[in-house]
Amino acid sequence: MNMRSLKSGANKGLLAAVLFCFAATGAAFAQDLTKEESAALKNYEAAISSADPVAAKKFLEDGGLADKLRLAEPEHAANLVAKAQALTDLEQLLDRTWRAAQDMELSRALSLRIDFNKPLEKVGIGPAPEPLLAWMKKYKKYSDAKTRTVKKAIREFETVFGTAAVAGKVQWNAATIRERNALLSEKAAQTLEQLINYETKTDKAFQDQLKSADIFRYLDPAGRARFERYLNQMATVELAKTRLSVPQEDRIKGQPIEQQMYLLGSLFDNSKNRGAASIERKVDSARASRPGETLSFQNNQLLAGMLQTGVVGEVKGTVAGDKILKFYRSGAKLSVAIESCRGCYAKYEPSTGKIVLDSEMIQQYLRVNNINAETLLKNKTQVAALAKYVSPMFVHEATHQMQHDWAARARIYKPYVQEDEIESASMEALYTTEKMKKDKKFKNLFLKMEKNTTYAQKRIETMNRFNEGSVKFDKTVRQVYYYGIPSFDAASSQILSAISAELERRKAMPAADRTALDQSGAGLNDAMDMTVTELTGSVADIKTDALRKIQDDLLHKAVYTGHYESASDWTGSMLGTVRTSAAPKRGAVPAL
Amino acid sequence: MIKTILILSLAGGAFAGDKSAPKAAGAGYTRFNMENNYFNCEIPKTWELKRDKQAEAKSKIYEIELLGPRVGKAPVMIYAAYYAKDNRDFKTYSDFIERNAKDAIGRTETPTRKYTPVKKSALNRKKAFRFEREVKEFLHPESDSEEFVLVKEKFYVLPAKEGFHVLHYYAPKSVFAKHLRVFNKLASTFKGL
Repeated sequence: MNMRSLKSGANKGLLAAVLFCFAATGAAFAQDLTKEESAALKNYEAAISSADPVAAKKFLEDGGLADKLRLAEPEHAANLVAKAQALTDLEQLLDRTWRAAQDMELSRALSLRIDFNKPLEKVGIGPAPEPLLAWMKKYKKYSDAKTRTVKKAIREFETVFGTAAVAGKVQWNAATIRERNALLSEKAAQTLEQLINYETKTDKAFQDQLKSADIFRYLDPAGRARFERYLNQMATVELAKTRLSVPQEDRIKGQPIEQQMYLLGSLFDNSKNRGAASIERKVDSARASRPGETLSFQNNQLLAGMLQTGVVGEVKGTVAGDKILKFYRSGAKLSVAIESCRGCYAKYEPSTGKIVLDSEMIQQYLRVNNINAETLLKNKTQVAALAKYVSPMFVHEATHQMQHDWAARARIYKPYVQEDEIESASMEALYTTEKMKKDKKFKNLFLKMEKNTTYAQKRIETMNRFNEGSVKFDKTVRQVYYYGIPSFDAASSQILSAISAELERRKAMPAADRTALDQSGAGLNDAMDMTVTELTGSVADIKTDALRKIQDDLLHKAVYTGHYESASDWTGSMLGTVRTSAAPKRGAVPAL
Repeated sequence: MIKTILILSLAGGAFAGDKSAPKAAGAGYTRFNMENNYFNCEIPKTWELKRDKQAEAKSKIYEIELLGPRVGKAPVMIYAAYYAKDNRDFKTYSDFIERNAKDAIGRTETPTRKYTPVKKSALNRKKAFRFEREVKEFLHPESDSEEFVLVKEKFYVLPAKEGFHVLHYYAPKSVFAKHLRVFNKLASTFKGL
């Protein structure tokens, strides 16, 4: 039961709650709502059940009615709120601008919402996605272009295989978007792997042929990254070939791509003239590390420790950095590790409390700068430069750690949502802006590295977009950068729906079974650590008290939105401060 | 909750926020009036119109987004906006120009961007500033993917008595010229406060 509402509610609400406790829910509810309110609720329920987004929005805005319902019948309220939130979230998602080529992004966003056991399934949209098209036709009347993009995103059979194809259509139409994407992605990954391992062509015509091949559109983000790297490697080989002698070119001919890059790395090592040195950096950036360039376990441990110290010194004295350091000084643990991030540059791991920096990103930095791990560890200046290079991502991930800590201190369940990434990307961009202005070494490093690595280019582009205006930056982060994760509204809606359905199910359970579940099920601590998917997938195994606690947390939406809005206002106002503050005199750059 | 108004297939229909049109719009276009007369202009009937009224109230940036045909990897878009005096992002129109006509560290040419100089001009007899930029926009900044699209953007910034207006055209470079006439039509019919 929502104790906060009970304490602050009117007598009428208290009466309803007490009556509810005596298992006279229906009667209490009937007494609590006026005749008009009951009629309005009935209309809302009918409209929301038929997936009407206008009614859903209106119900959510009708706070009085929702509050009364919440007090009298929490599960009923949560169920209706979840369906209404899911509909408004779906509408907002589709209302956004979606580029034709963003079908993969939209597909992932829709697959998070349309699947088994999602609130939208209860209003007839899911688990297979085709009812979405009928819903759009009935309620939204989108342009033909947007409808085509949605058809691509849900992997409609005809759109993927053509109108002439028939075989397999029945099975395909029974699958969810997630299942369809998994099949297409697997097929694309197999094709790519074959090319990387056996194909020897690298010419521009071949590159163009691959770029326009439909199959690679279905790669998942990691596969997409590998595909882009493959294209970049081929372009680098073609560029390098212009400076090779015939015997040198013969050495790389007939080799698969990784072998070609490896051989080119040797051929261009320690180039002296400007053109060749530029190609050497491009080759070094795109090729895999040689044995001497990788980090051994011992070196990895040493470097992680040195970087941990380095980034603390690096971020000190900036507004974003000082906010983070204040957080660590308040007792939070800082633990930096170097591991493979599998396609990302860095991540915060709540389960271990570690900030993981991607080992490949670091090894690429070493290759481009002609340093190996041994010489790096002996040179404090080089380690300090590396700390500068990784520091924007450190700020980004430390912000995620702060978000987790905030939720833990408030003792509330916090799903991982787009709003987390907006805050982290804003903090990263705020930090980069200030460092570029105040720290000459930082600026020179990034100006040099942006010529050679997309990591540096992306840090600068994130900074640029943030500086062009925070309102548009918010939209860009949601739509372009972090499309694959749900908004807070979407996550909250999914969880509330799953919990309310489970609590309803438990009402009908024999008392002995319910007691057994509450003794052996997962407790609150375990549930609080679960992701959205884990939580919605395991509600049947979580103790009732834990489910009620999480339900209560999420029903108090303002706690979350207030936190995110406050963070957004802070970074926005700090950008103004950073931009108008004077650059320090030489020597005033924060010491390492 | 974000309130988004999406109006499609605008043929002949009245807008939310519309007031009586000052004059008839040209063929294929209809006139849009922003609340409080912040601005009005002719917009293409077949393009999607988007607004986020809640964000507008909070940021004091009153903006419409017009989505045109999608070409290749990016859409063609036009934004028309009134930035109120106390808006969230920019102190003055000069601040807007400073932050949009150069990159964040003041460059006009970088490995990922290229800007034209800002030129003083007039738009419908009002003082205006115009500039363009090309941006290598990464589609996956969160991963090590190198996929990007080259976009070209054009801006008009018009000082107002209080605040300022911005007209912003965004398109893949390959089709920038093709749809520029739509932006020009909107700009030529634009009237601010």
